[in-house]
Amino acid sequence: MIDPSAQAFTAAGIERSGVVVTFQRVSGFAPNTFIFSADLKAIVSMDRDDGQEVGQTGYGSRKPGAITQDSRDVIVMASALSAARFPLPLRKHDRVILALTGEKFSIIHVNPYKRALAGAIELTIVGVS
Amino acid sequence: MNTPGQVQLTYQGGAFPVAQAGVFVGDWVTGLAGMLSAAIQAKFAYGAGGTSAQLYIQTSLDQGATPIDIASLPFATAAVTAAINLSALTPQTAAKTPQQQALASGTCVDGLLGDRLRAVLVVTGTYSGSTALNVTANLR
Repeated sequence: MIDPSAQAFTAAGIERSGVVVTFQRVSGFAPNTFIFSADLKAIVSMDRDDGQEVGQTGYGSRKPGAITQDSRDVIVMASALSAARFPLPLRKHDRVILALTGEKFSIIHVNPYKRALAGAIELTIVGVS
Repeated sequence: MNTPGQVQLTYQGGAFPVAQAGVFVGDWVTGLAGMLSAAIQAKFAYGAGGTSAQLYIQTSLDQGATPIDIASLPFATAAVTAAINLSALTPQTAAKTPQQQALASGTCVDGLLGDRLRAVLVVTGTYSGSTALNVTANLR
């Protein structure tokens, strides 16, 4: 169940602090691939190695709290995706492109439950060349 | 219509992979109440093999309980892009019996647009070489 006030608050936050991103679903097999895109706003948070501090070693990637360099967390309203007619649900390997920089990312994890009360979907994306 | 614009008529979330023979029922695109027209494009990307593929565009006037064929587009063994436009404002004063995957090939039924659309693909023969069909629509 979506809480209307939480949904409105989250949507306002995305509208204020979000950036324009393009979600892409690629289907078919090369050379016959098709792309369906939807442009909308989302909050993209960046977890980036600052290059100054010495990284902690011996910390396995599977341990709680580990983050992958160059990964991002994205928060997007499910209603915005639905209004843009993007085929839901979001899937692993769907693409996310930042309009401002043109950086391309691939979705590696979709969590529709964490922010379900606000009607938002949280994603983890990693950059692709 | 609240949210006009581009939509993809998907099969399990993406374009139709055309491979083995059979009937492939696409996903309903819902929330189209108030739709006045639909410009639909079907792009058949041919790889190899196969015999024929018949695409049916369907709508429903009872929330999906009764699908109605509104377009029937044929494809065979060549890459083809086909586009049609359907209007909800075309009068249909003669009663139509809803058909499912039975509309005559290459014909359309204008004037019947409900609150949802989907595509159904009937494949004959075995296609290969990454043959696929993408169906998109611009709804107003």
